[in-house]
Amino acid sequence: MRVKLPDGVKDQVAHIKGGIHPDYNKNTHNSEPVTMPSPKTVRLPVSMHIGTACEPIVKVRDKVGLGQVIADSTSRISSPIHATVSGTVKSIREGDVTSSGSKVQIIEIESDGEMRPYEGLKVSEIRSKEDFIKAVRDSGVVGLGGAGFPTSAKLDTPPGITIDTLVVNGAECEPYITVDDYAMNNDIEPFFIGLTNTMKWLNIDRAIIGIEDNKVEAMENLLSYIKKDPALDINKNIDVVSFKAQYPQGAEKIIIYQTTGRKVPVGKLPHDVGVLVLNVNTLLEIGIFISTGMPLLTRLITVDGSAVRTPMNVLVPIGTSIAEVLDFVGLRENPSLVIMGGPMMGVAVSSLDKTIIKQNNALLALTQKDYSLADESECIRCAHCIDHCPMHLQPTSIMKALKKDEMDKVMDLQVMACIECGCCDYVCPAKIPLVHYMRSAKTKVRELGGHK
Amino acid sequence: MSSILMAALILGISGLVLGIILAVFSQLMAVPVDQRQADIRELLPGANCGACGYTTCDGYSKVLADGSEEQINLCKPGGQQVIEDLASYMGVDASSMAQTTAMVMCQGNRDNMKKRADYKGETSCHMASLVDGGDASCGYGCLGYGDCVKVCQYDAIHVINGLAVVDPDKCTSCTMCVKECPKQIIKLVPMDKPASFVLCQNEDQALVANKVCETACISCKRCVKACPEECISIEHNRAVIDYSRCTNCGECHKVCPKDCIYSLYPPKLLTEDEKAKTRPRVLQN
Repeated sequence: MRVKLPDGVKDQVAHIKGGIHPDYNKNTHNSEPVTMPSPKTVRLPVSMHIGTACEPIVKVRDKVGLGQVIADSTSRISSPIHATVSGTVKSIREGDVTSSGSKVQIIEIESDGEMRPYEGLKVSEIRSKEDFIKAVRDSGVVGLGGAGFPTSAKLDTPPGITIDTLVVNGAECEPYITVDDYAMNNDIEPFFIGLTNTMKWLNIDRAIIGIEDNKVEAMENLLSYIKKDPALDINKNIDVVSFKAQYPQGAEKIIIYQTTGRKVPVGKLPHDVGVLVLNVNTLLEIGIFISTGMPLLTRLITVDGSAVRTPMNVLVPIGTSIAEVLDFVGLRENPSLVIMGGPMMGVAVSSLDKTIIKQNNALLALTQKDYSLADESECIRCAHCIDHCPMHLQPTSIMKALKKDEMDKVMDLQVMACIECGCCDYVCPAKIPLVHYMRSAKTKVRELGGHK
Repeated sequence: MSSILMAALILGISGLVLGIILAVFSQLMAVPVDQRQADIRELLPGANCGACGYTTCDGYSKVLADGSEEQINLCKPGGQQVIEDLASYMGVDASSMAQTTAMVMCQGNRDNMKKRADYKGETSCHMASLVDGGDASCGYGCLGYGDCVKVCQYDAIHVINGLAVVDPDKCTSCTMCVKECPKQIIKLVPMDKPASFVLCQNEDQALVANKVCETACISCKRCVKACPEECISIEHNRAVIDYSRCTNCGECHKVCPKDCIYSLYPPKLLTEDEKAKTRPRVLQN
């Protein structure tokens, strides 16, 4: 059943195949965020993004101010790390970051409790595209939807490529998470500063804000803001597009298809079809940096799950340990599974000592009630996974070929097109962890030098 | 009656004609077979492991036959026997090959290293390592799901109590397990001269390493100080022995507080009691 949409909202131009309808559990919808008190110590990994890890540029026992750059890199695909509290650098040592298991250096800062901003922070003057890209890099913003790709590298397109459309990803199709929804309802002004600056400096004529139809309120708020501001309304080039509430609408390639009708080929990037996709929160943080000069230091994260006493959105300084966040929110019982990110694409953490990193948008403390870890059984060839795959793949065939180590067949089945959304996993009646097989197949194909 | 004779006759004649055609064309269109390559291929073990640097045994025999590869000592699984066979067939001098064995540089079995999480899914090291680097508490240690066992064609590697262990008597150094291990903790080590090895790949600082595994190298440098040959150094928070200079004297075995130095041949200086201890616990059973 379609929801009644506010006037002025456009409909999606194309529909994907497959997808699923999980329980949305948006318990924290429009709840007022709670600011977490600044922790005594923060631990900041020098790599909170995809790409080259930074090198620490501070030494142990150095005094650092809030927002001071403590690690940086000269590589294009990288993003500087800022101190998220003021205080003293306590240690710099090796440790592991969530999800990858690879070891990077972790800078531990002991807070002095003052939250004294770094003197060097200033609003950067932007006169050209290069200035803008540099400002985005200085802000430390990465893809805040969860991917963590350095935004400055995304904006810095190779020569010969023109981007005509900016797609703003406000789908937020993952269950539980409501941080993008909150931003679209409450932080509209800085969000539009980020949006208009991106369009102005990158010379993009058209912007599409894609929102699922279960967030009618956000659509209304954005539309009324656009109407109110004559500068935004005049060219009618910012559209709010609604699409069916369904998972995985927020996946990059899918949102491009639904809002523009363009298909991104396997192994290509959105800029190859003239589209730039940015998350709502990414633009919001860019807007905040441009207007105040404050880099990305805190993240609004949804803390939810049946082990949590009251689900809430918490404003957490980056680098706070997961245990401290859960302590602050309050647990009803001991969680048996803690996930960073949403339930569909998030990663289970192996230790509560790990810290909140830039691209985290949710923390789920689950008990046995929320999930089942049933044993995998044999494939019954029902083809549910094939029906629900939004990328038109055959997960079960890929899994079987992988088990037999037939890598040629795995590559022929186009495993590299898999977006790891988890729909196949969700619908499988035999409880086969298909996404896990897909990930394994993708890493093996990459090792063999297949599609990158 | 006559129809059945007719049928038999037609079938017989057409068979004869087609047979003659086949015989003629098999002579006319014969693909020349390099007898030399076929003979060399027969001498190779046929494991197709790729340790020689060529994709298959066919590949290695081809380059040996056409002379583009002159070294006859590249076949690790074949060992000295194949080198001698090849030398006598090809009429060249038999060179010798350094004897090696694969070794899992880890002692993190279920007694020494605990699991930090429950991993549920396909029992494969490669797949387990995709989830936060695996469920072993040591981020560098053996996961024990046996990807190496699956690729070994010589039954030389087994998972004992959650740790892969190589049997040096059966290992042919084909390097299949070395390539397969997602943690890259299987290494080729020399076997023709006695030497000691540090069975730990943990690069954590001592404080962390000590917590994650009972037999982790804690880079205490005692072995570095004890070594009379000065061939032990600390690299990335773990001891590394230069095998070419190691004399297997056993001084490092005596001082190691974590029992993570091991030798295939019990060092000569150890007393009988200490010798019994030198074979690490995991290899005793």
